Amino acid sequence: MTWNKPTFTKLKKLDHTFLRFGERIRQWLAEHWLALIPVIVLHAIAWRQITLRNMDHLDAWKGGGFGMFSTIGDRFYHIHLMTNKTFECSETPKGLRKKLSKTKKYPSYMMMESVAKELAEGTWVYDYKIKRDSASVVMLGRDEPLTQHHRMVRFDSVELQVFSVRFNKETFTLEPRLLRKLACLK
Amino acid sequence: MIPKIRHKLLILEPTKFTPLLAIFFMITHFKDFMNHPAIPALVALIAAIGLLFENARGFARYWAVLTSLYAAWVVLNWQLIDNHMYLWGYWLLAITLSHFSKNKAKALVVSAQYLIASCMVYAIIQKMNPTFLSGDFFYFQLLTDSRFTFIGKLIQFNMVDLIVENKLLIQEVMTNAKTVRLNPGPHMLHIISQCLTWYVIAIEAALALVFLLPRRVAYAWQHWLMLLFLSTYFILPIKGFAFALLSLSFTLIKPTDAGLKLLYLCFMLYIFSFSVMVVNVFF
Repeated sequence: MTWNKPTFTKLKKLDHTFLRFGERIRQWLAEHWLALIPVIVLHAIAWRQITLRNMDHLDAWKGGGFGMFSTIGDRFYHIHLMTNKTFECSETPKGLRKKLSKTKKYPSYMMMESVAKELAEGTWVYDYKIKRDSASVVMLGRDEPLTQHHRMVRFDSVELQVFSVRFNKETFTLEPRLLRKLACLK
Repeated sequence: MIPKIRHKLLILEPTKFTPLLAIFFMITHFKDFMNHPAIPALVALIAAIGLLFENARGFARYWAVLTSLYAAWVVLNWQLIDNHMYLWGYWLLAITLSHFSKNKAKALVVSAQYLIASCMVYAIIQKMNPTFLSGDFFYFQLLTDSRFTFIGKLIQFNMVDLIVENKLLIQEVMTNAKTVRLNPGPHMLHIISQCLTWYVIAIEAALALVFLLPRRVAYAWQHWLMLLFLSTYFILPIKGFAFALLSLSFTLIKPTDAGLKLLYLCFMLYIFSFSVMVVNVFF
C-alpha cells in the first residue's frame, strides 16, 4: 500500500471545507446565542449539583442535576440532646421543619451549624400530654407557654445527625449511613 | 367534524401555542407554597393575566417578571424542589429571551431542543453509579415505592402488602438508626429491576443522542422516542416532569404535522386529567 502525498489543491479544498464549517458555526452562534443562554444556565447548575453531590453530600434527586431515579434518596435526621454521658432523642420542632428538610437534602456545615444553633437556643421539655408514664422530648415554640404537662430537659449540647440509607441486594439489608453530624453547645 | 379538527390543528402554530401551555402549567402545577406564599400567589396572578389576555403574552416584560419571580422561588427553595421545576425555569427564561431574538420561533425551537438534550445527558451521567448499574436502585424502588404497585397485577403478586411491610421496616431504620432486613418479595422482581435499569439507560441515551442531532436529520426519531419515553408515565403518573417534556417537545413539531400535534395534545390531556384515575382503576 502506498501513501499518496496530498496535492496542494487537495489541501486547499480541505482548508476551505474547514473554513466553511467554522464560518457556518460562527454564523449559527451569532444568530442563536440568546436561545442558548438557558442551556448554558442548565449546564452551570447541573455541574454545581454534581460537584456538591460528590463533595458535600447534596441529595442526587435535588439541586437541578437531573439525578432523579439514579440512586436511593431516602434520608433522615436525628436530634440528640446531650448531657455528660447520656442523650435524649427528640421530636422534630414544628417551627424548624422546613429548615431541617433542607438540611436533610443538603447537610452543609453552614446549614447544620445554623440549625443546631437554633436547636440549642430553644426551650426543650418533656411533654406528658399524650401518655402519663412516658414523655416525648419536644422544643417549645416561641409563643408556646410552659404548662403542667411539661418538665424542663437538662442538656449541655445539641447534636444534629443526618443519615442516608444503603441497600444491599445480596443480603436484602437496609443500613443507615451517617453522612454528617454536628454538635452545638447550649 | 374531522376535517374541522384537522384544520384547527394545522393552523395551530406550536411556537405560538407553547407560551400558553407554559401559563397553563404555572397555574395548575405551581401551587406548592413552601413558606413563601407571596411568590407563588404573585406567579399565579400574573399567569392568570396571561391566560386571559393574549396581548400580555406578547410582551417581553410580562415574561421577564414571571421568570424573575419564578427564579426567586427556585433560589429560596433550591434544596427541596424537583428537577422538572428547574427545567421549567430554564424554559421560562427561554420564552423571555425569545422575545429579544430576530426569529422568535426559531429561538424557541433551539432552546427546547438543547434543553431536552442536556437534561437527558445529565440524567445519564448521574445514573453511571454502582447503585443504579447493579439494578439495586430499581429493586429497592420496587420493594418500597407505592407507585410501582401496578407490577403486582402483571406478576400476580400482592405488591401492596409487600410495600407496606417494607415501608414499616424503613420507618424502623429511620427511628432507631439500625440495620433491618427487607422482605425481598418474589425472585421475579430481580429480573424486572434489571430490565427496568437497562431500558431506562437505553432510552435516555438514545434521547440524548437524537436531540443533539440537527432537527431536520432526526425529526421523526426525536418525537417517537420521546413519546416512547413518556409512555412510562401512562402507568407511573409523574405529572410535572411529563408535562415539562411534552411542552418542550411540542415546540419542536413542524406546523404541518397535524397528527403529531393531536397525539401530544391527547397525551397532555391524559396526563393532567386521567392518569391517576386510570392507574387507580386498573392497578
